[in-house]
Amino acid sequence: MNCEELAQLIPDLVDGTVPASLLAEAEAALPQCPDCQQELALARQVRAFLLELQAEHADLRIPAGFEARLLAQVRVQHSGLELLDLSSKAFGMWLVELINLIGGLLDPGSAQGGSRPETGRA
Amino acid sequence: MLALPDEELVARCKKELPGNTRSYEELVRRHKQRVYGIAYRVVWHKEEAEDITQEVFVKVYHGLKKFEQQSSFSSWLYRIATNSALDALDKTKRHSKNIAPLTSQNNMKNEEETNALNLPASSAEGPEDKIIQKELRECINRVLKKLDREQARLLVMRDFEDLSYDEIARALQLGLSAVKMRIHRSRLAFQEMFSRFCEGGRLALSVASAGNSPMGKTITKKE
Repeated sequence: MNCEELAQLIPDLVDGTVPASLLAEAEAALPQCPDCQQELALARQVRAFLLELQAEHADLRIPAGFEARLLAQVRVQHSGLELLDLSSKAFGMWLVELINLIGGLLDPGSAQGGSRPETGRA
Repeated sequence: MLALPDEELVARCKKELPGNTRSYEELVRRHKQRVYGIAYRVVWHKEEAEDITQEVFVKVYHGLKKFEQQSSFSSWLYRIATNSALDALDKTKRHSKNIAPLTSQNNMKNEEETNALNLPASSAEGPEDKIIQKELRECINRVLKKLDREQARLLVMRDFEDLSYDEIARALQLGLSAVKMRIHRSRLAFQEMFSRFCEGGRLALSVASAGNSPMGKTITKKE
């Protein structure tokens, strides 16, 4: 096993997940690759340090009532979106009416024609 | 409902939301603790961690319809949680807001925080231990902020939360060997910066790997 192949195995060596068939070969190759040895040692240090630090609050619990607070927030947001949706529909209708009104002012004939009863044709 | 896998609950959510939140509530019940753990381990502050957890599940509520289940729900969720926690950490930097105070100013809050950590008696007791803990946390957070976002995310997922390489690969939709090598590089980058920005950082790392508590050694921030 050369240095390049060994370097690929470092993450698994850190985590102890190297297949048994490769482990002996990797261990035998380590003394021939000082860079790999150093990287392995440093990575192991970081892993051990962070895991130890995190393990100190393994029993950490989320404060009581979290779900109720979350659902309340979700419902408020949802009803807000519904209101927004309603108001956007109302605004759309108002806009259509406004456009019709302006159209009527600019071209009274067509507006009247548009609303004229068609009984005269018959 | 309890026996249903996450994927089935997700499928139900897509049909039921927003009118019916039962399946969504079950997903929250299953994963809230893990998400809170991710948030807390990054920001070290109870209230902020709860806010982040809430933000994560609100994002899930709005994002579920578009979630295509290319990764598992939990992988997707933990990625959102990690990103949200790191975003919050960045904001603390921008707003010059301090990370969980443990020893000064607000004694009541400090007591609450210390108890919430469920620290072993040896490290929870004594002002010197608290100061060391606070320094350690600040140093770690300084390093997390300085790392590339991807490196910080990988480190949080693997060495803070102990997610497997497989889970991380699925969450980030990367190949397994790419994830392994990136995590390795993230550890080396962390080690380099932790040694540079925290006096005694190198010592703390070597003490931890020798199986002794890093709490027993003083770490001093470098300005």
